[in-house]
Amino acid sequence: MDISEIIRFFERLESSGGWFYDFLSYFIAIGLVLVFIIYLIRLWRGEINWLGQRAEEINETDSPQRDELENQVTKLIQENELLIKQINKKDRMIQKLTKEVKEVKQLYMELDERYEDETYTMSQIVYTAEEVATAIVNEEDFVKNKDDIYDNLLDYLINTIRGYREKSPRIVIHIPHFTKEGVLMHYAHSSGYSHRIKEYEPEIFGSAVGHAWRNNEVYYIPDVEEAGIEFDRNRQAKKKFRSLLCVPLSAGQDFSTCIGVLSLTGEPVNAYEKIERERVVLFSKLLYPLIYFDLVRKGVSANGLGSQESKT
Amino acid sequence: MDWVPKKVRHELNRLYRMGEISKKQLMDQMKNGLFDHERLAVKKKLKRLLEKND
Repeated sequence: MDISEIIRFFERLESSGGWFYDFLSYFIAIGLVLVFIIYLIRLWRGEINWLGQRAEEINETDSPQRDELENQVTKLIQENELLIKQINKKDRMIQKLTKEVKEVKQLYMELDERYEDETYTMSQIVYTAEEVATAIVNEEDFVKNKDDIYDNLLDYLINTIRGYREKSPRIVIHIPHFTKEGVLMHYAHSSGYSHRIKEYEPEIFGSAVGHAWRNNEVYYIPDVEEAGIEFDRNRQAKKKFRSLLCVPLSAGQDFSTCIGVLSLTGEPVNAYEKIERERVVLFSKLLYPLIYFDLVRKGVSANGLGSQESKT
Repeated sequence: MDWVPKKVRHELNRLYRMGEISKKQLMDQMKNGLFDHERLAVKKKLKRLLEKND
């Protein structure tokens, strides 16, 4: 049966004027409308695309591309996680380095402060050396202004002490007594003491000054209230002090060169750091020539002053 | 960078004892740059380095 026969069949139906032709027309029209409605519903639900292809078919068609895309996404997520880890690691490193840089800066500041303190101490040493030399050269002026000269010389030493206001450092220099035995006598003192300090004559046995003198060694007492130390508790002083440093005035280790003791007091317990004690020893060496010069000038033999006899 | 004259030094000593100048002022005026140039040069270098990296 070809198309022309089908057309002729429908022409006969139409010319016969029977009900079947009308029924068939309505049936086909309603069927087409229903198909179209179903199409729209399925399209709306996403079950098919506008070409009428089912979603499963589309997925099946796109599967290799989708897999590839999914792989790429997974890979990108992994790379992203790795990058985040690396960034966090770098962040931690940066934080650590920043902290270290800060610490290095603080250390530098501390070092610089100490370096500055040392250069300043150098200036005080230079001025002391210069004024000692001037005093030796200008004997007349030295004799006339001895107290002022020592005042300033000892000020240079005190200037190198850290925390002057808290520590209230005071210095006295004692030499062996010219007339009395078994005691030392006042020679010079720094500002801050009353003149009554001149009356204090430390015993060669039973005082910190005597201890340094007898042994020709630096004697540092961090706390004078501690038991078992050689210290004269009746020592006259305007202000109370807890620390005491006694430095023998000698040229090297030879007892016979010892001409006196320089003692330094400090208000707090353990007032003086090692560097400060070392500076006091340094200044004692700087002052030695002037004191020696003065004692020789007065006709007192240095051998006599530091002899073993004078220490017993 | 000259040595500070004796009279000025003695006056500085007095002012410091009286509490009229601070330790920092005493140090700066006593030194007057003496022995300090190397320290200051290093400090300057560090300052430059920090400024560069900030």
